[in-house]
Amino acid sequence: MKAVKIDFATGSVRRALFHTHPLVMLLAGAGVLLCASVAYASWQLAQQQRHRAAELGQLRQRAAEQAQRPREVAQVAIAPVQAQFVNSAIGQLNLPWRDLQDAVLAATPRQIALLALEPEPRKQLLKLTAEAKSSDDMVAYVAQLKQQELFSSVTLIRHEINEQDANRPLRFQVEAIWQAR
Amino acid sequence: MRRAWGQSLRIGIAAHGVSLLQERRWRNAGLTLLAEHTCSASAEHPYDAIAQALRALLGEQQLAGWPVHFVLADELVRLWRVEPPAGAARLADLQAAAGLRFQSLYGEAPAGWQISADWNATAPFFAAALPRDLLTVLQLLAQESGLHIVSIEPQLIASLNCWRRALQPGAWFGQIHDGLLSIAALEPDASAIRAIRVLPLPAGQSIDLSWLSQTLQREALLLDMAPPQMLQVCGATPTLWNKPASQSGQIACAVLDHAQQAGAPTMSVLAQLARSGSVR
Repeated sequence: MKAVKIDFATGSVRRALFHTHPLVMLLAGAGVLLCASVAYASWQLAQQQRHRAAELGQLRQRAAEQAQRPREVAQVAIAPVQAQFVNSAIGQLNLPWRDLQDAVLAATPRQIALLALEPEPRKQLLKLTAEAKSSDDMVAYVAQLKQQELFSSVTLIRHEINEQDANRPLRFQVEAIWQAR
Repeated sequence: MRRAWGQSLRIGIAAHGVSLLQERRWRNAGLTLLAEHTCSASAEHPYDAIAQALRALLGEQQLAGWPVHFVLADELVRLWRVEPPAGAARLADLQAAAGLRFQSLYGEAPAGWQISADWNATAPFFAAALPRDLLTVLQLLAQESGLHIVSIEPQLIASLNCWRRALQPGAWFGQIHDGLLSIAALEPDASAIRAIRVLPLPAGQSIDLSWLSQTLQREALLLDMAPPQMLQVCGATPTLWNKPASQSGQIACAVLDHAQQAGAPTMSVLAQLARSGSVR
């Protein structure tokens, strides 16, 4: 049977609390505490999030400022001798040696004896020393060298007959300037 | 007087006196009679004597901040049954129906009465009316003494609400107080009250189970109901009712507050009034 709700007392918070079962009040208190702790934790998390967002904003601003600033390169003092040496070494390293060798070998017939190859990377100059049986072979060889795409100009520097050799070959020297690729 | 957790006051209000009890719910649970005052009501100002007795009662104690239950003797309150009007949907409809029923039953306008009811728009419900003058007296004196009113209930309603979980299907509820037997005739499944009847107990005669059975059967006939299988009763129950039914057709009686009666056999009528509605 349900309670007969006949009561002449006027409603009040105190009356409602009095008629509330202690277990319900305990549960309500626990609920209020739980809500309060959740609210406090949420507030703390929100504060932390705001703090981190502010930090992130500062970091982004700093990164943007650094990106706009010209990059400073450390000035390293290098002695002229050292620079020359380094440049020379770099030139040696950058020499297109395989291309030069291929071009020279492609232009060199069997009648020509190739004696020396002296590259000068700074001037992009290749000095060839070779021997031929006749001046016609030498001229043909020079013409053949001029046909190579790698060389922009080929110049016969000097030629002489090698008297010390019994066959008396014609020794000559050619300078070829190669094109940088 | 300092108040511990779970303590409250119970004040019984009758036309011939008032009583004050202290109730403890948990630690050393029980009731202690603090004071009681008798009075004689005059016909012209029926509530002045109650007010003076109550003022004297509360003036003897330092009770500021205490929660208080008022238990009203049934002679101060009117109880009646209200049929909700068809299609009633608002509380105002039910209040109007209760007011009209009050006027037709008692031949008096309800303006001077405070009506409280177990409002129900779909089933008959019970309403009670308390004179506004008496309610004002109670509220003013409670305010003067710093008391917090947590309930103002008629005695029968307080007792019924107290023992409602112990009521069995097929039983009726009864309360004996100050020579009166108040009977709440319940629906067969004990889910609601069908009617309330107040009968005087015959003085000077042996009130045994036969008398009770005859009375209940007569009331059942008047109410057009089947007689109850049992009367579950509280209050100053006659000792002859504590026996099992000896004859077939006799209606059994079960005393609900046997333990309480045994614990406080010398309680006065006013103290018993204040105790109504408490299981201590």
